[in-house]
Amino acid sequence: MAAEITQAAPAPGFLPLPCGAMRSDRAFTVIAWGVGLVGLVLPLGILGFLLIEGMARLSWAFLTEAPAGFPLGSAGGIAPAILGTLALVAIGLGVALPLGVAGAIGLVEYAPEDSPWVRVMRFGAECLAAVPAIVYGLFGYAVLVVLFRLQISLISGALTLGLMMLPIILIGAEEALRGVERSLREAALSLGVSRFNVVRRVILPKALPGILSVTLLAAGHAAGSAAPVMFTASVAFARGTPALDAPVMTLPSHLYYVVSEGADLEQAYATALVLVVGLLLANGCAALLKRRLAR
Amino acid sequence: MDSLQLLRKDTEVEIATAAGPTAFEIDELTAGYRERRVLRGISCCIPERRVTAIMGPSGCGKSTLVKALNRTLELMPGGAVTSGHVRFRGADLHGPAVDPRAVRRSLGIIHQQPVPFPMSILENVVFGARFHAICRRAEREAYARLYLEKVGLWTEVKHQLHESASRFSGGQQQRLCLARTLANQPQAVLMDEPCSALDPYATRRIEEHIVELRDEYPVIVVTHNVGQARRISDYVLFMVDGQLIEAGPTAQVFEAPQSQLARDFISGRFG
Ligand SMILES: Nc1ncnc2c1ncn2[C@@H]1O[C@H](COP(=O)(O)OP(=O)(O)OP(=O)(O)O)[C@@H](O)[C@H]1O
Ligand SMILES: [Mg+2]
Repeated sequence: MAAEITQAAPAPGFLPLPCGAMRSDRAFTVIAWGVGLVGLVLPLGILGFLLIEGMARLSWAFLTEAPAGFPLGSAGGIAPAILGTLALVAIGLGVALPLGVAGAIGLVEYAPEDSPWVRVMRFGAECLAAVPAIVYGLFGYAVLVVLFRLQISLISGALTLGLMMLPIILIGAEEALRGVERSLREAALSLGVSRFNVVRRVILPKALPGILSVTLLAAGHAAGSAAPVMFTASVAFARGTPALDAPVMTLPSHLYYVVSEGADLEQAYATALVLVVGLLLANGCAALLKRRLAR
Repeated sequence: MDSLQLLRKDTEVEIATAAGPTAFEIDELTAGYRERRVLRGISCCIPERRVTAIMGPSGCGKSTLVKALNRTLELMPGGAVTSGHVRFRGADLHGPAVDPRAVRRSLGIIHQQPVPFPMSILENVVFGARFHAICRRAEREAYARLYLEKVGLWTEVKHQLHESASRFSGGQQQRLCLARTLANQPQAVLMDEPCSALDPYATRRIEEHIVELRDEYPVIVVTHNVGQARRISDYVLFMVDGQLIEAGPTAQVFEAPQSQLARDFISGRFG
């Protein structure tokens, strides 16, 4: 018997949506929000925790005085550690940034396209970026401190940190340079100008925000690691302005000493707070700079 | 009326005999990207101070041909001329003592997508000219003004010379690129579909400039647009699949196309 085809009256209003798909869409929305919230709450939570625990000790004196008390660090401030970390990272960047950017320019702009050497070097840099910080520390100790007789000093630590930052900057700068549109290169080169001129005036300005981001990432990583400076640069106590041939205090290693010596934990929280806020400030400045560059 | 000479490889028949001076002589040119051969034996002459349109269906090798004409093809990955010659006013582009950068400077190219450089409008215009020491630092504003006026941008931008060009409309960007290329003081201008990213109004403005350029330079314009070729060109080269199928004065090619392919393309049935 043939099915009867009923001529339905026009449905009132709008047609219904498939309810299975709607349910999974709702579930996905909830999950996405949940995961997003975790991502937001975690860093804010850490910062809030440090603020609550360390804020009490934070003062002008804490930022400008040397540590004191027994065990060392239970009183006084962290000024030499701040100076030491700044000096280490600045000198390390002074080495790693030009080398990393130059290397990336070589790989992207000058090396023949898809040459096996480029792939080998890229792979090498990726491996180096994945090497744990403590291994850099050991390498720095064996080669710089012992073999080159640089002693445990600012310069040994800065070079070790530079070595650690180099592959990160190299890979990031390479990515940033590769991200610059082909057509821009082609248009500039087709005016008959030299490749160097194109790189300097067209490609680098375009890649600069990306290079800045990865430099900050590397610098933050370096500023916060105790392992690479432990055997190459840091001591429990130093004072005065850092000198190239003398050891320095650093924030992460000071934190380590204070906690492991069982000195005042609040001092440790305040130190950590300074480190984290310092990194936040640096990131904020970089974001501002990037906004200005993008204009 | 002077007409264009075309020697076809397979027949060696002169389809038309040239009168008037020749700018480009292309002789048995083959070129491509790595293993992929795109141009297969192109021979023709392109006249001085005329607009020559290159037409043909998508992928037939028009862009490859114009890039081969100013040695920018070798900037593409794997791109190379594999055999044949291109001569510009008698000089071989691929001669042993020729610096490709000098070729690129002398034979300016405008691409399909206008790409302003990440610098001020002023710097954009004098970018090549500064490198080639055509204009001194002190006189760059006057120099840039000359070329911005030439492309009709001066009144629009004279108060924002030091701002970035990225907020320009597509048509303005394309005229800026034209100014940039002309500021390089080239001896010929090549254009690869200069209007395909533009609206009809901006297209019309660029077309007017092309026609003006003809008084000073040999101009080669790749175009998809049959109507545009008809409006602006004096000569037409018609390519299919890396080969030159037909060439001649525009009126002749449009009124009495010799090959079925060209007839179909012109009437819009193919391409
Ligand atoms: N960079 C490249 N690498 C490899 N092959 C390419 C490259 N550029 C173009 N080709 C190939 O060469 C052939 C001709 O390309 P070309 O860009 O010269 O064509 P066209 O006539 O300009 O086409 P359109 O009208 O779409 O611009 C195409 O088949 C294309 O696939
Ligand atoms: Mg093309």
